[in-house]
Amino acid sequence: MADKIMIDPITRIEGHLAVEVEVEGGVVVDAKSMGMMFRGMELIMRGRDPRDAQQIMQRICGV
Amino acid sequence: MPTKLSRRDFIRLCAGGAAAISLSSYLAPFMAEAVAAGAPPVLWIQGGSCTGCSISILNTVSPDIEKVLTEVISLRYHPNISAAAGDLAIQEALYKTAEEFKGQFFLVVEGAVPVAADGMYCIIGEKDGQHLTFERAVKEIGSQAAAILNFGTCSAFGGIPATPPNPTKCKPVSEIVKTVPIVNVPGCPPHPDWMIGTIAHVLLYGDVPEVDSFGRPKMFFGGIIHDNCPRRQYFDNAIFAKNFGDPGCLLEIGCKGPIAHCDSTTRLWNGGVNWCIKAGAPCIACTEPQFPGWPMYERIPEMPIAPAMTATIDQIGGVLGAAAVLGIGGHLAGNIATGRIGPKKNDAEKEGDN
Repeated sequence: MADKIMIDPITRIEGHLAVEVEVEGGVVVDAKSMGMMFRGMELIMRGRDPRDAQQIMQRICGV
Repeated sequence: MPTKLSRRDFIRLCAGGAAAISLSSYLAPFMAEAVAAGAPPVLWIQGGSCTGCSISILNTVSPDIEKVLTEVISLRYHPNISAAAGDLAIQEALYKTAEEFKGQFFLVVEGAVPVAADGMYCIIGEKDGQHLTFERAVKEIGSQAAAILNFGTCSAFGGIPATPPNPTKCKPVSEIVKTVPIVNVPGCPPHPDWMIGTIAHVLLYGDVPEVDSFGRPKMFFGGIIHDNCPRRQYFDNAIFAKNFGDPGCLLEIGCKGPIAHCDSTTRLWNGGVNWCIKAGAPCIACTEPQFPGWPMYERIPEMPIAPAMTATIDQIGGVLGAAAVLGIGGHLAGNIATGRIGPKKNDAEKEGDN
């Protein structure tokens, strides 16, 4: 039987990341990483002046 | 919190915006003293944000950010810095501090609060085997804080994630927690001095600074860009830039300076090196509640010109306080009379659009 280890949040990175690891007998058998935030930037840009993209899309990530 | 720095001097220091001199270098010794004397801790959480506000605060110079974070502020949790991850971060660093310092600690919130799908568009961790949504964290932690400091336009007013059609139904923090004093420090991102100055005020005096009708500290957001703009002489002489890089007032290529409240004109950015308009970029009014609900590179559709023109003011919406409208109206009315500001030119006359 595999043990599930969930680490959420992963700190010291930008954004919201979670990691789920399955361990069986001391061996990692499966691992998932998950981005835990969604803002819909593409949906926000729809219908806007194309020149606004440089201001809005750069704010996907401020790092 | 007793401190040798009087409120009057503090406000003068913050509002002065002495160019090229770091505000934090003045404040740091007083803040370090306050922390040593047992000033309450600060918790910092991030939601629907880009982390740009945290990055902006890194621009704090002299003392550098390392000293600010380790000696000047008792920062118990920050997602980008905390060594603790997972349960340790949420249970021990976040919730335990909130419980221990209930009603005393200050909560810094960066990022808007998505409430669609029960807040599942932003999950900041796991608590008791359940997803901890940002909405829940803001409610639970925020309601125990002495005050909430909203750093950035997203947490203050909704900002970019709350722009129509607002796919994740993002809300500002003030609509989630209503029982705690809130200070809005908008900006996309805010100037490091605005953030350090606001934290300093709450740590040194234990209460929130005086704010305007949108919750912004008056010491930083009292002025309007247009009033102190280095290109103001161009405006007064009716010289308008038609393209980027032209000399002239940037109004025609989209500058929102006449409706933007902040002190960047005198404070400058990047340690006093430069700022938006000095670099030739039209102001996008990132400190205003409606940002970014307007086309950024189009002339402001209607300028509020006089108090009597209420329809115009309504169109501009809640952006301007009545006092600001009066202030702007005064000098703009003259300019309209002399034809400097007229109806928007038709496309055929506009250069640079093709």
